[in-house]
This record gives sequence, C-alpha cells and structure tokens, in this order.
Amino acid sequence: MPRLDANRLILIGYAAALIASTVYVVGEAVLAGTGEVALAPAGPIETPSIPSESGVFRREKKALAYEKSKDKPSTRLLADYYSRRAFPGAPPSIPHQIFDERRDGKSCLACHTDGEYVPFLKAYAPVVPHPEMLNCRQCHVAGKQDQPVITATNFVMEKPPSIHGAAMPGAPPPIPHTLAMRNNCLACHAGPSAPKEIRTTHPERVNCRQCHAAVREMDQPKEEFPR
Amino acid sequence: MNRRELIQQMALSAAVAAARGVFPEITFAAPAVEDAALRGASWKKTPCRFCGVGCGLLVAIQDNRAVAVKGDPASSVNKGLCCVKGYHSVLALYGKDRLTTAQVRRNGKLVTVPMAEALDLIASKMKETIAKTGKDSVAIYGSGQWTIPDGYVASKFFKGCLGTNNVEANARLCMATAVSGFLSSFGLDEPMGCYEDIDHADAFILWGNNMAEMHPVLFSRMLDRRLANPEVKIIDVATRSTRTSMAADRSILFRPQSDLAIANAICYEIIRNGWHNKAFLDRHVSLHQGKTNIGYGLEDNFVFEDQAKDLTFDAYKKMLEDYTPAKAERISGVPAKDIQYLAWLYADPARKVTSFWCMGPNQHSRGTWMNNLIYNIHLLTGKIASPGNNPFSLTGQPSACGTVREVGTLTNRLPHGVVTSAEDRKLAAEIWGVPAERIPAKPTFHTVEMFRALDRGQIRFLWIQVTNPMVSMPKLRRYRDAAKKEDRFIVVSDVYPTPTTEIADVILPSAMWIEREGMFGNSERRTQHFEQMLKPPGEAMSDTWQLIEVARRMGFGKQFPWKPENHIEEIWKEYGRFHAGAKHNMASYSDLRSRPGVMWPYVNGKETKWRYNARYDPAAKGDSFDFYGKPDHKAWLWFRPYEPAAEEPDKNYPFWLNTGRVLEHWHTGSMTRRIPVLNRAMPHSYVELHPEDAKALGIRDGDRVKLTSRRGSLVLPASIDKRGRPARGAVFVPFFDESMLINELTLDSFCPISKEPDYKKCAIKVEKA
Amino acid sequence: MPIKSYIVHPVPGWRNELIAALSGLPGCQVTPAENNPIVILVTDSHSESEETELEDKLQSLPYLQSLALVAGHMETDEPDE
Repeated sequence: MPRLDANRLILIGYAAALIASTVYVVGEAVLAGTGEVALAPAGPIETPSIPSESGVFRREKKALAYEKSKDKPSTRLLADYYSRRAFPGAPPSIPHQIFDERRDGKSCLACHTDGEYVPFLKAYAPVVPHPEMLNCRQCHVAGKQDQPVITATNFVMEKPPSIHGAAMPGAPPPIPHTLAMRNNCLACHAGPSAPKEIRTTHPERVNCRQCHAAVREMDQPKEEFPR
Repeated sequence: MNRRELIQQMALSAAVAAARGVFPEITFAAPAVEDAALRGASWKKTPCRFCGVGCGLLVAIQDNRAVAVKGDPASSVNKGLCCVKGYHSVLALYGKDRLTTAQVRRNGKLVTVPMAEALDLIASKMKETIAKTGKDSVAIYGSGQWTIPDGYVASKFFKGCLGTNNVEANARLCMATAVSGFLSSFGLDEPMGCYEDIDHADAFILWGNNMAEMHPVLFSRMLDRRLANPEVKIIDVATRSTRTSMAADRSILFRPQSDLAIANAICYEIIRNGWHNKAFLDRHVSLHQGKTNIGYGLEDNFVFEDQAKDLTFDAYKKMLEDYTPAKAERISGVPAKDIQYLAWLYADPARKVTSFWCMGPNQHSRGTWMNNLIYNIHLLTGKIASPGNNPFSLTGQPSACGTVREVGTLTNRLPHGVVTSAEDRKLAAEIWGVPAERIPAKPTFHTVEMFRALDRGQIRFLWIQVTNPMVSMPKLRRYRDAAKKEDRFIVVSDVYPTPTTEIADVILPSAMWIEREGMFGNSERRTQHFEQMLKPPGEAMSDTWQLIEVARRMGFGKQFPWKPENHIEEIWKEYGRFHAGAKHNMASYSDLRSRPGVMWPYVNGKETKWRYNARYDPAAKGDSFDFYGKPDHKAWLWFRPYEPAAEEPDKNYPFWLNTGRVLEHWHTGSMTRRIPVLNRAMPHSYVELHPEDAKALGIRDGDRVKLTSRRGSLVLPASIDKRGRPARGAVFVPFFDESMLINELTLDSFCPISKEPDYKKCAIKVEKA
Repeated sequence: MPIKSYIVHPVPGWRNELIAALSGLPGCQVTPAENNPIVILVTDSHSESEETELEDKLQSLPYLQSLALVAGHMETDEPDE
C-alpha cells in the first residue's frame, strides 16, 4: 500500500474542509429558502419614520430650554401670523429683505431652526416646523401681502380657525388646523416668536397629541355618531 | 357663592362672548374667564373611566351636571395630567341616545317596560332555565370595567348562591395571559413593582405595546424622565411602527410571533457573556420546563393542562442554543446585533431596566410563554422587585386588576384563591353565608368556551354587563349567530345601544361611572374610590344594584341584605375580609374615600410598593428577596420554545392581520364615539398598509380595500403612513368601529394555558375593492 | 340694584390710566384683554342713586373713548345669602 505522505494528507484535509464548508453554506441557504411563503422579505425589517407621527417629537430635547430661556415672552400676535398668509395654512411670504438670491435653504435655517433673535429686524425668527425641506423658496416667496393686486380676484379667504374650541372649561383645545407641514407643535406654540394667543403654558409636555385631538385630519362626519 | 356674584359672573361671560364676536382671537387672563364659567361648581375626585393607567381626575359638578375635568394634582399616578379621552370623559355621559329605560324584546321588537318588571322577568327566566337545564346553564359575562362591588356581587350571586362557576369577564380577552404568566412564574398575580419605577429606570424596553397611544400618561412620565436624564433609553420592540416608535430612541421591528425567539436569544446572549447574576439565581430562582406542542384551542371542548418538570441550569443553557442571535434573526427579521444590544441593555450592571408590555405578549397564542420569557430576562439579571428594575405587565382596562383579577370573576377563581381548593371554598362560604358544598369545585367555561357553550346549547341564559362582545369576540360571526339562536335568553346591561343590545332579550339601562358610587383597581395595584356625583338618568340603575335586585327575587335576600345608602361600604368591608394579611391587605373604606387611591398590600398604614423584596414588603421574610407565592419561595424560570402562530400567512392568504386600538377611542367606541371632539378626530376605522404593499396592490390612501380571511371579509378605507405603518406583508385595523366589524375576520385561537385569544395574528388577503 | 357689563375702549395710549381709574371706582370689576386694547367692565350698584353716580363718574373719565353696554340685570336689594 503506498504510503500517504504529509502533503497528500494536508491536501485531503483541505479538500474535506472545503467540501464541508460548501455543504454548510449551501445547506443554510436552502434551509433559509424553505421558510414562509409570505410577501414579507427574509431580511431585516427597516424601521421607518412616519412624518405625521414623528414630527411632534422633533426638537423635544429643547423643550426644557423654553423655561430657562431669558428671552422676553412673545409679543407677536396671531393677526401678524395670518397677515403673511394668503389663507390659513398657506406658506407664509418672506417679510424681510433677502440679501443673496442664490443661497439655498441652509442660510434660511441659520435663523429659522431655533428662532434666533435677529437684531437688524428687531424680532425673533419664527421656527420652521419642517426644517427637513431645504428648497425653501419653492414655497415661500418674498413680498408683503398688502401690495396692490394687479388683477381683481374672487377668492374669498377662509376665516382663521377659532382658538376657543375647548369642549369644556379647562379642557385641552383640539387642534383646529390640519397637520400637513405643521407636525412640530413646538415650532409655533412655544418660544419668543410664537404668536401670543397660542403660546403653550407647558412646552415640556412633548407628547402634545396625547391631549390635543386633531379634529381636522380625517374626513369629517356630517353629523355626530349616527346611532 | 351668592346670587349677586353669580349674576356678576354671568354678565362677565356675556361681555367676553360679545368681545369674541367682534375680535375672534381676543384672549383674557384665563383664570378670570374660566372662573366665570365654573363658579359654584364643586370638584370631586374619581379615577378615569378609561384605560388601565388609572389617572386621578377631578370632575366639576354644577347643578347635577358634570361640566369640566382636570387632572388631580394629588394623584401620584398622573400628577395632574390626563389624555384626550380623560379630559373629555364626562362628555360620554351625555350622548343623545343614552339608555334610560328597560326594554324587553316581544315578538322581535323592543318594548319599554318599567325597571321592576324587567328585573322580575330576568329572575323568573333564570329560575325557569335552572329548573329546565340545570344551574350550569345560566351564566354571567362581566367586564374589566365592572366596579369592584359589581364583580363582588356577581361572584357571590352566581358562585355562592346559585352554585355555578359560569362567571367570566371580558378581561379574559385581555389580561388572562398576564395572570397565568404571574402565576406560573411567581405563584401570585399582579406586578411586583409600581409606577414609581418609571422615576428610577435607566432603560425602558417596550414589548409589543404602543404606549404613546394606549397608556399615554405613563408614556409621558417616561418622556419626562428622559427629558431630564438624556442617557435614559426608550426602546420600542414591536411588529408595527407607531407614535411610540417615533418617540423611542430605537425602534426594533420583528415578525409576528417571533418575540418568543427574541426573548430567548436575549437570554442566550446574557448567559453566553456571563452577564447573568449567579448569586441571585442560586438563591432565588428555580428552573423548569413545561409541555410543548400545546395546540391553539381551535376545537370545542379543548382542554390543556401544563406540567412542570425541573430543569438544571446546564440543561437550560443547552436548550437556549436553538436561540442564538443569528438563529433568532432568521426567525424574526431582527438583526443579531440589535438582539445583542437589547441583551447588553438588560444586563448592564449600571442600568436599571423596566420592561413594559400589554396586548402584544398577552393576546398571543403562546402568551403565557411570552410573559414567562420576559420574566426570565429579569430573573437572569436579577433586575426585579426593586425600584427601577421591573418587568411590568400593564393592564388595559380600568379595573381588570381591581375587579376581575382581585375579586376573581373568572370561572376558576374566588375572591381569595381558586374553586379547586377546598380551603378557599370554605373561606368563601363562610364569608358569604352559604353552605360550602354550594360552591362548585370544578371550573366550567372560559370566555371563548362559554360562547361556544352558548352555541351548543349548554348555556341558555347569559347576562352581559358593561361589555360589547358582539363587537369584540374573535371569529365574531359564530358567536353572534349563537346569541341569536332560539331558546337563548340574553340580558344586556349597558349605557348606550350597541350591537350587543341588538341581540338582547332584555336591556337594562345602567348608571354610568360617577352616576353611582364605586371603586376601580388599576395596573399598579392601586384601588381608587369615587362617590356618586350625579343622579343617573331615567330609570338607569347601577350594575351592582341590578344584580342585588335579581338575587333578592331569587330568594337570596339574606346574602344581599344591604341598604341603598351604604351598600358599597358594606360590600367593601365584606370583600376586604378575603384579602386580610400582609400579602394582600386592602385599605379601609374611609382611607379610600379620603385619598386619591391606595395600593395593596396596605399593611399598618403603608403601601407595599415593591413586593417580594424584604426591604419594602413586610410579607417577605429574610434579608433580600422572598418569592412567597411559590412553595419553594423562589421565582420560577421557565424554558419556553418558539412555536408558530395558529394561522400564518400562506399563498392564498399572504398577509398578517393585526388589530388593536387608537388613542382617541376606547375599545368598541360605544362611549368615545359619542364624544364629539373624539369622533371628529377619529370618525371611522381604516386599514393600515405599508406603502410598498399598497403600491404593489394599486391602492392609494383613502381607497377602498377588501380584506378577506377564512372566516369573513370586510371593506375598509386605506390609511397609508398616517397613524402607524405596519411591516411589509401585514396590515393593522382598529376595532372601535361597530360599522366595520374586523373581528368577523379574526380567529378564536388562544393560549392554551390562559385561554386568552390571539387578536394579533391571523392570515388574510388584501385587494383593492 | 343693576348689575351691568360693558366693553370699554380706551383712548389710544391711555389704557393703563383707564384701568387704574376704573379699578378705583366702587363696585367695579376690571378684566383687561391680553392682546387687544379693550377692557371688560362689570359694575354692581346697590341702589338707583349709586348707579347714577357711577354712570356720571364713568362718563367723565378722560381716558374712556367709548362704553358699550353688553348685559344688564336689575337685581332687587335682597340680603346676601
């Protein structure tokens, strides 16, 4: 019988290991393949963000800062807020001068992310509730609303929603506006640029929709519960 | 306040209204204007009518009307905060179609009758049924929204007087698994910790529960904790992305049913790294395994009894090798490194960890196992029964703990102990003043089986109180058809017309919540009292008194001798006798009246906040932990494997169907849909779809979608990326809408140990309608 | 006798002085708006002569631009409860 020298042995050993590992890898793949027939993919499940639900928690870490802030309480009125909008919910026009026509959203965010005090305008910049949108001037155009209109219009502006919608004295008022683009409550309801009438007494309570019902989000029923 | 002041306030209100007419946005310093509206009102305390958090409320009563609600700042549960349901809760009393008179069905039509006549009819029907088909052919199906006196009187009446164990409650459908989890792991029901754990924990692991919507005030407490301590982590482990996932530090999605694998994999990791607390395990934990391949309860008369076998630590370690993170990843879709991260969070010696769970692990065909597994993680790390370290099984209903679990309104339970124990029967008989042989020793039917028995004709008389099974039973069609059969007499006590009152033979109008005196018991063992603040409308009568009236007509006046003006106090005194002792002592009636709530055990004027821990629990012996619920005074660690769900998606029915709630509506919506602000916020049901699945099926947000299971089909509007986003291959439908009965599609499989149905998993197909 | 409520407009720029003056008058309850110059005034007089005196005083205030009556109630002088 021929002697098996060391080299041959090692070669055989490698081959065996290779075959074994191939069997293992292929076997695992086969086993994985014979799983459920569902539409669901076999890999890890991605964890998404739901904008209408995540917006409320944005900037929550800053919620405590409102209490400690040395800013004067806001003096801006709801009337000012609505004066920049063609109708409630419209994107506000830019009331201040824009120095560089070509700059992108990042220069807007320098002041509008956290509502800085802007000395040359003597005002606090309103905080934007949707800072992830960077092409600001796609929707926000410069110019005041009270400039003369060249063509007459039949458009009748909807009245701003009432802020007095609480169902009972002391009840948390429902959210009378739609939430699209306005998912982050703290942006408009807290801080020195918040319109006075809607400033919250409790910015540190960050789960706003726990108490404040969004009554304009879904198609409204024509009457109360039918029974 | 006097008449002049009242008129001054009215004049002020008129001027405010006039000013608002001219200047819509005008505001005045709130207190002056609010005071004007609430002058003369008195504020009274009550626990909230809705979820198991059990917030303390203050209700303003003015001229026999509830006019305002605020959170009770004196309540340690919510410290003055509520949720949108709590703030508007009193509006649920004033729906236009409130039931105020008794009705009897004659020739298919409902006829109004005086209350006394309806009660006579019920008693005579009960006597007739018992005479014809035996005492086990009458049954009562109550609720975790029963007050404690309601449940106590029901149990005494049916078990002690009539002599039948046909007493069940809807908490079987939500908390039975929590109970069997506690009993198998610790021998005694209900959490060992309390809400104060939130103020101490460094990590919150949420298993399959959307706390931001379902236990909102507790979630806010967690957010507060994190806001003040940014290193605190909230991890959401779920099958669907929700508001909770958005607020969490990390959101981990897993395939339905695979939570069993993940929990085991966490245990594997903890042991592999040597992170387990050997000293704690040696002294305080014994290891066991139970039966496997235990079925799903789909057949009538399904019977299962678990059996414990001792297990050595090495054997347990070996069994865990089927659950390495890599293997668990394959079953669950959760990356192994996320499982390792969870294991590290749990095991980190510098971190106190509280786990929260509710319906995900409970409404689960292996729910008892899942509860055991979460306890295992806490037992392996020794993080249990001390401030901040707590596996906290949360309760859904306001008094599932207080009434169903503590009074024992389940077929196998008594206010103290179980019907199978001669000693426990003797105690009950003594306190109830009935012969001991009257109380039957064998349990009869759990809820699903009870409705099956109704179908089969074993039960001919069913009294339903404070619950809406014709919306909430799984595999609804069978049980609705059963209730409509000939020769089934159904009595329904409720506050509004519902699909359940639709099949009733007698409808009794019930006094609702603060229209009668009562107590609720919440998730953290806190009993809360509320006085009668309002007169119930029309002939509406409290559920307690309805039961007493019928019991007296059945000849049991001796057992129900109480007078209307103090019967709640007398009932409480009698009930308290069952729980005497350091392990379960209840507070006195006067303590409950004067305080926002008192936890049990209440021993020598002190609440036991952490049970089984000798430092805080007078019933615990020794110098560290004493798990006195078990005969070996140890906590039991059970090895439980992964087993698939009863019905998983396949080629014909390729989607998972998951059901649950939304923040705005309570359960089947019979109360909250009649609150205008809540109805407007959430006017109808819908089906949530993953955007990719919707695209593949050609469905857009708002489109009509048809869901079909092997049991029924339903058309609903689609909701895409609104309130929640299910994983691919899954849908979610809330069950609050009685015009879209999703339970016609669900399956009545249940955990064989707890008998609680799995509402979270069955197979459907989805198509554009 | 009469209990009345009014919406009061101050002369622009003299709001604080108006509030101070009104608060000093007997039987007067002043509730200023937070975001509007107007002020709500509730008066309570116990006799006809008191009421006439109060009305005269109000008309003579230099800071008062206009006074709009909203609600009035004639309350006979019964002993307080």
